[in-house]
Amino acid sequence: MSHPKTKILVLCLLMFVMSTLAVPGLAQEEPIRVGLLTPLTGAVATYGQSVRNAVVMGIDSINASGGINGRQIELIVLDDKGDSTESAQAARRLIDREKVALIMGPVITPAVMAVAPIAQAEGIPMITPTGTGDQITELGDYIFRAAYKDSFQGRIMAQFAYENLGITEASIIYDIANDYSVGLRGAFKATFEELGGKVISEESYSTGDNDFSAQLTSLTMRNPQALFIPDYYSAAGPILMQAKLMGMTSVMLGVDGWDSPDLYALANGFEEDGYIVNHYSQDDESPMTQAFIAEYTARYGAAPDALAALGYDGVLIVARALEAAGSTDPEAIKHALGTVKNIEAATGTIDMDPEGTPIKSAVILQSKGGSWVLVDKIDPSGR
Amino acid sequence: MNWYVMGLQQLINGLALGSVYALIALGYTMVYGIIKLINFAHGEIYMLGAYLGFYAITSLNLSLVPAMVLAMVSAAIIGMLLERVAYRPLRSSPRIAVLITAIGASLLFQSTAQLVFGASFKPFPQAIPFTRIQLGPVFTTNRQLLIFGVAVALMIALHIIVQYTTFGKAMRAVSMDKDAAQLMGINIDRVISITFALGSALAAAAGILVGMYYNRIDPYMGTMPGLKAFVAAVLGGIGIVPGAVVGGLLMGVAENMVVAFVSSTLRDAVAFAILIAVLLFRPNGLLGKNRTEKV
Repeated sequence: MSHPKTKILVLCLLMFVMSTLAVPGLAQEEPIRVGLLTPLTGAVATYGQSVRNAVVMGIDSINASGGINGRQIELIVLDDKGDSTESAQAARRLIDREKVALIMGPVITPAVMAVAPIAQAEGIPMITPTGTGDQITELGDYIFRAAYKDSFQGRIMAQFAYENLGITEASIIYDIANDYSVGLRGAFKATFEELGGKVISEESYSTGDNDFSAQLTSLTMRNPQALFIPDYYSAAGPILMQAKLMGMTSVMLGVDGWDSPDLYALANGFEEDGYIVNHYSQDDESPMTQAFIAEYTARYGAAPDALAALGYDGVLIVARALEAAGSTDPEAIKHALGTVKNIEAATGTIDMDPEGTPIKSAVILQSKGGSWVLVDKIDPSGR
Repeated sequence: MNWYVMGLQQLINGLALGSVYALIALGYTMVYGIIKLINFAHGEIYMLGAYLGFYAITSLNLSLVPAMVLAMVSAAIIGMLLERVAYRPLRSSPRIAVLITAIGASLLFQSTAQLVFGASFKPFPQAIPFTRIQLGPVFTTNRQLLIFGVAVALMIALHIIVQYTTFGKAMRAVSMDKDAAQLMGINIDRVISITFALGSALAAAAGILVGMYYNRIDPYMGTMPGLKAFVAAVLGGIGIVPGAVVGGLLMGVAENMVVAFVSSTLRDAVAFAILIAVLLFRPNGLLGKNRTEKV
């Protein structure tokens, strides 16, 4: 290091670094670091990509309009592959190494269940834009979500099937190894039977199975009026295709997990006429929803699915909470996340609740020619 | 509900799944018969076969049969390369070294596939229309028939190769006694290489058939069927070609029956329960002869 040339080089480098820091850094405070855990690859990759796209879009527009109380938001995105173990490791990295003020994500319920205890123990506020499992928000007071709960979603589908479609006998096929699928099956069954309907047969499989022929054969023999398939598109698609191949003619009932551009190819057209409960509809005429759809479509060249809408809403909730908290103190952020009200968001008007789940509406959609058509809108009271 | 119809229907489903296991099991058993190696990377060849078929159909716009031939030929070359690069240098090493190399090769294929093809689930192009064929009270689909038909045709072809060709004779000779075969002027390197090629081609065919049947492929699809086909090979008697077919079909049927009549959570457990039972009561497999080792 004693060589004069080296010294000059180091000096130059130092000046360069200082100059890049000094110009924008002087007037502004440090950015707020926000972590995003989302599956960009794996069995639920389209969810993660939609959420990432929407979150990046939301944060860019906040930063462009001056940030939160004069501070920019710095987003750190990690791919958790939708895997619980990977998600927990990524959460540790966000907390220990990246020192984030808040975690957004993970996206699917099993991953949220793995990360929430870590966030709670470390006292880092966390909001999953899309996790619907009932138990999520019971894991601690630092855990929030932007989506509705599965008990709500399962109840809505059961009511719709019984009251609107006139279905009295239904069957269920679900993933016994996934909290999301198991929770939805329970909620649907409870409401459906409470109303007077009958679940005539149930079959299960495990995550990763791709042969459903044995289960579907048993189900087809009972010839149910409707088949409820509470799972992600990566399983629901092949189930739909194999069910139709078996000659099943039941009405297919689904959940928000079906909402993916990959469903159509995986179900090979056999999702046609099926119904799902979802968080929002692209047909919703509210100006906020339409503005979001227009901005997203212009930026990414594809219409946003519900996962994208929820990701965007997550950013709106986070932005409002950070603004209200006025600092990155975890306690203040936590309090703000549970109390912000009247947020005009892509999926409707959101009131946050200290319990962690927003109070908002749901929609029933029907698959028609490769897109989802609005059939019914259900307010938060469930009717 | 009619249990007899249900059982018959599950038998049909089981035979379709079982012929896939049988196709994969043949590769295990041939390789084991010749060099006493359990080629754990075989399940990955099946996965690669599915992807090769996928790209042959989507990128090269081939129809099903040419795509399958192309995938089988490519998989055969990959299988030969695998043997040449990873197993041949270790042929005189202890068997455990080769076995661990096989596990390593399997993981290498999986991770590379994830890197190259992406970790997302891919829908398989449905190159043929959907038809349902009613057979009295039960039915089958053209996909099930295709799986079963292609599997049977390939098995017959393999049987002819092994039993009635000069190469088959050489193969049988090598499996009986490698050194004696070499003394008789048989090029054992070539025989082993072609055995790998044959086994890999069958696995690739299985991969494509499964991709079409279930409409979903991913880089980890080879793990479970690979293990189950291995169990099928052991069940039929490892090293015995007809044994792999019997074992595969039995495994497929057993799995479907367990899912239909007992519990779907036992689907994977049944395969390994069979493995334990076979090893305890008939370690040479169903078609294996009980040979006492002479000391």
